[in-house]
Amino acid sequence: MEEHAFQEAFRRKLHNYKAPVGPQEWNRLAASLNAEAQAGRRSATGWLVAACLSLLLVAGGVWTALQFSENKTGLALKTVSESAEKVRVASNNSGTQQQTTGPETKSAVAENQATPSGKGIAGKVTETATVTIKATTGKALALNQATENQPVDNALQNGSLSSAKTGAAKNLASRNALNTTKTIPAAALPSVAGSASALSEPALSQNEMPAAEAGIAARTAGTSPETSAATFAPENAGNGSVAAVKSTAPAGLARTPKKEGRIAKWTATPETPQMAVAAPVTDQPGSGNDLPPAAAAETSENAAAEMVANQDSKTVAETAQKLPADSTQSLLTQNALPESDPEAAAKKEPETPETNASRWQVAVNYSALKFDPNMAVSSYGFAPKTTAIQAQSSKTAYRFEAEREFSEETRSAYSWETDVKAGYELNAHFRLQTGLAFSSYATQTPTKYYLREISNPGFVGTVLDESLAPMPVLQTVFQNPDFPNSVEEIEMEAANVTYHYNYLGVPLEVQYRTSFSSRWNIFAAAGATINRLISGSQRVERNGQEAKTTLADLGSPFRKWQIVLNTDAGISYRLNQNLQLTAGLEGNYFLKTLAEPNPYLGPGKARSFGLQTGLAWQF
Amino acid sequence: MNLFRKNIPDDAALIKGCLAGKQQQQQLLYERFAPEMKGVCLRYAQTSFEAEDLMHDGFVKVFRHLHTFKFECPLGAWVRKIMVNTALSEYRRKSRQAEFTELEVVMNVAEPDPEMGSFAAEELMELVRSLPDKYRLVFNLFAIEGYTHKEVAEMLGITEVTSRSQFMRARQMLREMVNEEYKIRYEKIS
Repeated sequence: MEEHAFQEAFRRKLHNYKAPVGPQEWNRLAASLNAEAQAGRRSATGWLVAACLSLLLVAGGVWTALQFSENKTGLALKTVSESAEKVRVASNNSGTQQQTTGPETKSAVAENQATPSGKGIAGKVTETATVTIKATTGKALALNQATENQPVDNALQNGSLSSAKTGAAKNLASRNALNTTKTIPAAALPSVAGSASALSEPALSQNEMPAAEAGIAARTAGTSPETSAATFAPENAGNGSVAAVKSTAPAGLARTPKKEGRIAKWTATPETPQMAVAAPVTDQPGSGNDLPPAAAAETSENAAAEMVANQDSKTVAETAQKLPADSTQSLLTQNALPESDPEAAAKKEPETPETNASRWQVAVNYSALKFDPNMAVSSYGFAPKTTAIQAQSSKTAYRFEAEREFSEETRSAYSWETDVKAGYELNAHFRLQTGLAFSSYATQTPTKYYLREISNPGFVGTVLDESLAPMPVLQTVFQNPDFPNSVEEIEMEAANVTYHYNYLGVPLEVQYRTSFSSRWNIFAAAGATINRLISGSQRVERNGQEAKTTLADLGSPFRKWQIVLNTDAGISYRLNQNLQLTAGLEGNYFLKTLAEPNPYLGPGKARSFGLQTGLAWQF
Repeated sequence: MNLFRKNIPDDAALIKGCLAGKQQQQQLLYERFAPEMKGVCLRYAQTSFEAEDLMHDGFVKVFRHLHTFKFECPLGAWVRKIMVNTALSEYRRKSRQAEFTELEVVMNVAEPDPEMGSFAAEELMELVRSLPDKYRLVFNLFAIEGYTHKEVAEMLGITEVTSRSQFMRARQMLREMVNEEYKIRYEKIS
């Protein structure tokens, strides 16, 4: 009881004891806080700069990719325009042939199919339209095909001209029964294709096409007086045969005479600029030498008017027969869609060929690594013999054990790396990659030896320097590199010493990849990273308590810059047109030791190995 | 009255200002707790310089980790805890653990209690600070801060028995010092 009263007296008087505080203490604290805030701002600025650089890199990649795509599209448009020009020239040459169209045409069907090309190009629409006039009871089939590379509005305005002049032909069309035909809407240009479909289908379903509607249909389809063409396919009159007309921008005009009772399908499939480039008009069978100018091009108004005036499809039929059936068939096989399934056409459209893909790719990766610093400490020294002998003279068993502990029992702690890379496709298999990488390496050493410096090293009778804290064995090498063994060993309770090294780097790699299925690729990459040590620490954990020392506090003994060789290999899975999931193995090798040269540190170079996963976006 | 209150922000406002990096708010927080914390640090330190260092390091930690304060306890208690932990860390940094022994047996010598009320807080503080490090720590933690021996043992990385032993030794030493001081005073008076 007395004891309790005794300590209670202390508690009562000292627990809330307040001591006077001088202003200089606040000034000192404020200075420390300011210094810390400035350091934080510097660090934040560094991260901001790194983030901006990454952003710039990615934005640059995207911009370049877009530029590249635009150039390719521009080339495609140019080719399509040239094709249209060629059709125009052919049209001029075939005027007289068209005028001989016979009067046997008794019915005609206008079928409008609009195919926009150059999807995604703002303000411009490349439109391929086909106007087909089919004779079911008669023998004539007229088709108009137009390829335009102009704004839709212009196409519509031009079409109005066509409408007025083709009135006679449409009168014929309205009198005759029609077989079922459908207009395939062009999904990429619903406004144009939809209007064409809406206008043409009623006429078809009713087996009648009033002149006005047919004219609108032809107009809506973008039929241009300058670029359209008309041919008549003579079939057996009264047998309801239908000639087929196929129109695509690159292929120009193709036609296949069909037998009785068969309905040919004419489709206009959306084509990419790349396809147009690959198949220019003059290179296609049936559009150049094989296709007479009369069949290749004619203005719709001329063709329709002449059909009516002459009522003679023989000439056109002859012309049409000159078209090689196989070439037309091949085009049908390539591009035609089932007339009964317009949705399939819409679905098919997005499957743009891979040639449309950009060469640029942005990838984000994360790697979990096992890091081996490959460091060793020895008082015997790894450098000149004289130093080793000097060190050996004062070596103790404890120190030797501490060094062995560090050299042999240091193991990797949780290490990881993340990077953002932009890749440029050099060719089908090789890609050059660069970007920004952040690596956090960590190692851990379980130890039970702490060492304390002694004052006046090298003299007999030296005493412990009480002002210095006990330290792990590696720290003694850094703190006193000239006399690393000038310490008195202290055995303590078990502790874990964790070292962290954080690097920011710029990698440069060449990647090889090849595919073994439509979605699966394998890849391997090799390169180097220039790394900058941005921070690091030594953390000692003992009995739940933790003491942290930054590398700067240790005297910054680690190299600021490192060149690291990288290699990785793995597989990638294409999730969709643009996105890929990657996984693989990664290995890194430091070209220099982690720490600055020190005679008591081993020459081993750090290395890491681990698993990598990431996402890649192909533009 | 309200005008005065406006000049004394509550804990939440202080913390908000400090987190925003306002030095004026930081100074207010410091001035609110510094005298008491200086007292705490003086008890754990051997010298005034050491106490100032402790308090400086402690307040740096306070401002650095202020965003982690969850208002689960009074701000003053939180700051005090940080000061104590800072003192313990400093002690661990400097101490040689091997010196601790669990075999120390202290005889509890029954002596008549001196009149404790006659001692000023400063005098008691000086007595506590004159204790050896390990005894001073245990005495401060157990007798002044109110931790149990189990908690003290965990904080210092020693066994509970050692904590008890060292506390008893510290108390005995203090009693001897108090008695000595009391005798001197009594002799002076007589």
